[in-house]
Amino acid sequence: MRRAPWLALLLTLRLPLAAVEPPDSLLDPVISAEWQAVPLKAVLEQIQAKAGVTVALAATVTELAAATKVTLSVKELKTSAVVAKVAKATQSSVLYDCLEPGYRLRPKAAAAGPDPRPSCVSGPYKFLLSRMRTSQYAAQTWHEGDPQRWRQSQFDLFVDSVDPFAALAVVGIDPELRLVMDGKPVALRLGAPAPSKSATKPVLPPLWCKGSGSGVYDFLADLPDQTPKRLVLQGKLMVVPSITERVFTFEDTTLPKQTQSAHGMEVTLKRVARKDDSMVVDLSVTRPITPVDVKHLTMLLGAPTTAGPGGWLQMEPRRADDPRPQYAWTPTAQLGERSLYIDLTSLARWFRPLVVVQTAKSWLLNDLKATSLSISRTATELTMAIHTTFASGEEPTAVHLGVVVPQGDPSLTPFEIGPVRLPGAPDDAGG
Amino acid sequence: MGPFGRAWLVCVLATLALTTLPLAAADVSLVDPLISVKVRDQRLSDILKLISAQSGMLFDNPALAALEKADPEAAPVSGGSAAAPLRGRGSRRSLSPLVQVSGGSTDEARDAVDPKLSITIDRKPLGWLLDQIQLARAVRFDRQGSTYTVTPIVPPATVPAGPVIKVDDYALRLQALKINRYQDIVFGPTPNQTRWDDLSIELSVDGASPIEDAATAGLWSEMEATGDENTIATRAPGTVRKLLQPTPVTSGGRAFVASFVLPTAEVKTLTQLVATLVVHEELAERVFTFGDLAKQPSQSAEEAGVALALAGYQVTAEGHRASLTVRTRLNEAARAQVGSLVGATGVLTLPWAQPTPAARFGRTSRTRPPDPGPVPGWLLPICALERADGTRLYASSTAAVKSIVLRGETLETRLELAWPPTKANKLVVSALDPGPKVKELLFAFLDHGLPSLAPPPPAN
Repeated sequence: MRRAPWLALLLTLRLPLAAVEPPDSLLDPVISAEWQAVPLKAVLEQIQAKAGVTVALAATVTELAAATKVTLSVKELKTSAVVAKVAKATQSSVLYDCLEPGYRLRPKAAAAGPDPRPSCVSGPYKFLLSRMRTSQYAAQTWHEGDPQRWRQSQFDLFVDSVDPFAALAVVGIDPELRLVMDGKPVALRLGAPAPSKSATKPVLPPLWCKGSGSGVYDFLADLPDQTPKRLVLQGKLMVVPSITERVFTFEDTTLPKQTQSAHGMEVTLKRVARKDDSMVVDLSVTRPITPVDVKHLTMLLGAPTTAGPGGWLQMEPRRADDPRPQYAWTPTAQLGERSLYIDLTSLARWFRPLVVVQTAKSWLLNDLKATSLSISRTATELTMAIHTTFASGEEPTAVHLGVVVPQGDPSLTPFEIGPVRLPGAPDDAGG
Repeated sequence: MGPFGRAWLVCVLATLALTTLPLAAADVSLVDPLISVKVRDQRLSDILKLISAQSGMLFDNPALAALEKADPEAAPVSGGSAAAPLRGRGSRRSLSPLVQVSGGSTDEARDAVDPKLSITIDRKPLGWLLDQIQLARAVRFDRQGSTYTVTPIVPPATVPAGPVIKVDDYALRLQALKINRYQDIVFGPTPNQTRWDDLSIELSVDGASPIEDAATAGLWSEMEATGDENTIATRAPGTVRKLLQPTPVTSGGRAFVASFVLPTAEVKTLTQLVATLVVHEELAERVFTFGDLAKQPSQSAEEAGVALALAGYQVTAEGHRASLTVRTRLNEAARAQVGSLVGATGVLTLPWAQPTPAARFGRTSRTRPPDPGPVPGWLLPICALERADGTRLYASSTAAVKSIVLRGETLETRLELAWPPTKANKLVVSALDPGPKVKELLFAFLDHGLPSLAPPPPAN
């Protein structure tokens, strides 16, 4: 009897905490919904509110598509499966952007026709050739020596998977990419800048990871003298066999600093600061470093040395005073005393910080453009410091952090696009 | 009159006296001081040390620093032997009778960034000497405030210099003709095809002295080209007008790139290129001297369009420090030059004045290394401490700049100057005043063949 007031007090204290249920995944959260003839646009907005990921209609889609009605009932399904069901119900194709992260639907009824991009499917991945830019260059200079002449094409290859875990598992394109033009192999350079543009581009790290962040890989081909008519592209996608996600939930965001340990990881919520209509969250996570982490970071930062861990990597939203307008971000790799500017797309996708602020009304996933990431390492551990800003003035009820861990040696998924007839190329004799 | 009243009068008198102190540019120049050099087969780096000791001017040779860092064995060896074996590049032709480039030594990499020179001159302007060294095609010099950046010319004298036209005190040199044909095929989602040709013409400006170099305000150009019989490409004046701002290209400072979109037909000859160079006609160096710094750490002075305010001066164990504000009244073209660099706030953002991203959040650990950008040559003041024997110690202009703000017609530059310990009690400041007006100089290049995009004929 004497314990009853204490028990009552404890129950009172626990009640608000129990209101927050830790999610299984921030990358592909489980959601439920019931839609009866709801406009597609409203359906997508509801998915976004529940899952944090953006679900949008492709920019080319008309109002007619947006007004398409959806009747669907889903119960405790992963978001990717829900989006797939909505896509099927509306006869839409889906693209997934793992950086956003978000889905983009393109209802076939609204489109002019099927996607004209040369493509192929291999496993959970779709490969699309989206662009070919040919540049012919000739120069006479009086300060660089001999006249120069070259002719080359830059290709954009887009790799997509609607499964968020499969999308994060992509390491890059195997450098043994093969381009055949009119039956003859053509020399390729992955992601190398064109000579005339090199003055404005940064030095790139080794290239097999190039593009893995955005899903767009560009590569250059030194063209033959004759304008090619057809091409075939063959290659292999490098994929990490296992991607796991662990979610850490902090239910009291008012404490100055709190740490949780689980699965061999240590996560610290350093700060949740609200100011006007925005909220700043600082977190750090230390987890065991995996062999594929080591391999990837060694390419970006160099091998660890006896003098130290071999540098750190930092990415922050592009500053207003950054004189390099071509970058949306200001990523820096620090190698000893040398700093090296790298492209965001060079960083493996699994490093994408996943932070969710839960409020009474919303489930807010961090925007990469408002997130800074600093990565450092030791021989056994990887530490990521995350600083992110949310454009919301709501009271936070919980902060969730998703930690993604890649495991295993990358395997190769082969693909082949083509033959593709190049637009504008003259027909062969006889058609 | 009470003590405060007397102090006030002393201040006024001191200010009046100080405003009379500015020295005529003809007497003293910090931008283009007189120097004497007599050396034989000396490394350029050693010669520049001599010049620096005489004039105060600072020199930065990043290529040499990188070479020495990569290979400490390649550290400078003063002097050098005329009997060193000739190898590698061999003897190099010099276009200057006063500066001779010595034969290659055993260290080709070092020769490329730090050649050996023989020079004999007596009381000549520094800019003139540097032009002579540049003429000998050894290295190139680009000045920003008190620092010249030294860049090796690659390839060296084996490549002929481009066509050059001289008008008044300026030479305009054709550096490069570049044609780029783009064909863009977008496969989807919305298929599209575009094609365009670009001709870019690189021109470099060389004034007769650092003052003329600094007076370069901008350049625009028009051109006419012919190709197959009926193909004529003409651009009307103004359609390709370049901003009054140099564009950094690989050929270095005071260079401009004029870009033209060509018709799709192949062009073969640049029949006419007319370039209009805009220069500040009355740009002048204003030199001010602030004496007795220990007793008067706050002083001011004014001459023509330039006003100076020394807000503070102190000497510590680390050296000398001074806070200075320079206000310069700008003509329209100078404002356009600055306007191309400033944002809507009027605050000039200089690449080398920005901190690098924080080493960790919220902290700035390093300063971005100097990155000579397209900054007008007259922009940065030069400030020097003058010792009793008349020698000067220049402060780094780029490191000293704290802010540059355009307020209406006036450019306000705030400097926090620093020098290592030395015995000096006089501050000399040089500011370049663009003056009230500009003039235009016309240059015409005629009938130059354009590089061909067509593949070379197959080898038999």
